[in-house]
Amino acid sequence: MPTRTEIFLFDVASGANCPAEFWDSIQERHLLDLEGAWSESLRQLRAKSNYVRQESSHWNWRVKVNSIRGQLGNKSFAIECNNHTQGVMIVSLLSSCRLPAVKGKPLVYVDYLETAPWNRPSLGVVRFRGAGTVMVSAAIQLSRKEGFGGRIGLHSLPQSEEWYAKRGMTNLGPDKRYQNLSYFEMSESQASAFSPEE
Amino acid sequence: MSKQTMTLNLTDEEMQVLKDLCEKKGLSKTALMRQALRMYQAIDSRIERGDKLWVENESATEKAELMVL
Repeated sequence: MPTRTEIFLFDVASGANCPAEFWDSIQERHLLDLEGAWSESLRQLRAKSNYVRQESSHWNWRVKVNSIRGQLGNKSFAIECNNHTQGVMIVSLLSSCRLPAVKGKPLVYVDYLETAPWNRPSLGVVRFRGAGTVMVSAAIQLSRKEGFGGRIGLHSLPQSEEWYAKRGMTNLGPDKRYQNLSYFEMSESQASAFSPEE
Repeated sequence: MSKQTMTLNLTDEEMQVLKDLCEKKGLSKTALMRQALRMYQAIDSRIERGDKLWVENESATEKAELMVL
């Protein structure tokens, strides 16, 4: 049974926090929302003259979720707010640190993280703020729970590099073995600064 | 999520390897065994669907298939 936790996202229009739910696994309802509301929103945004091509637009979340079903080494998460999915993430527990001081120690690797099209500054629309931050915090919490000290890592799409750098992650540069995407890592101390332990 | 407890019988040598790995990876014995189980399942799933497991040494340009039973 999935667990839901009450959280808040910032509603830009009203300027107030909006109650939201953090799910500890992506459910069918979220996939249907991605295939419905997310796709429709992207279709409408594509028609606008100022549309910026989204580097994650080819991601098929149903295929990704099906590929990790039953795997202990992967976990998925979703955020719901205002009856819609606001963000989704898949992480792996099988990766190791690259930062020299902790090289070879385990971390939580963020395989995929995507927020709803209506929450992306790159598309000129932001309805709810905080989904990305909630997801990174969740990866850090999971890392702590598994004894990895809050360490996380990921390969960033170019459009998201600035966002991860601003969150205090170390950019270890382009990874020629991973489509030349820049690899970012967050150490234990960087994780504490981003999301202090309770 | 509920958790279950089990007793694990290891030889002295196996216990020493477990302790060494815990020290190296900065993990408790439980965390390390859970990590090993995840890894074993992931590899087994890939092998079962026909994938092969390779070990590569980039600097020595060596590549070898790892036999997994």
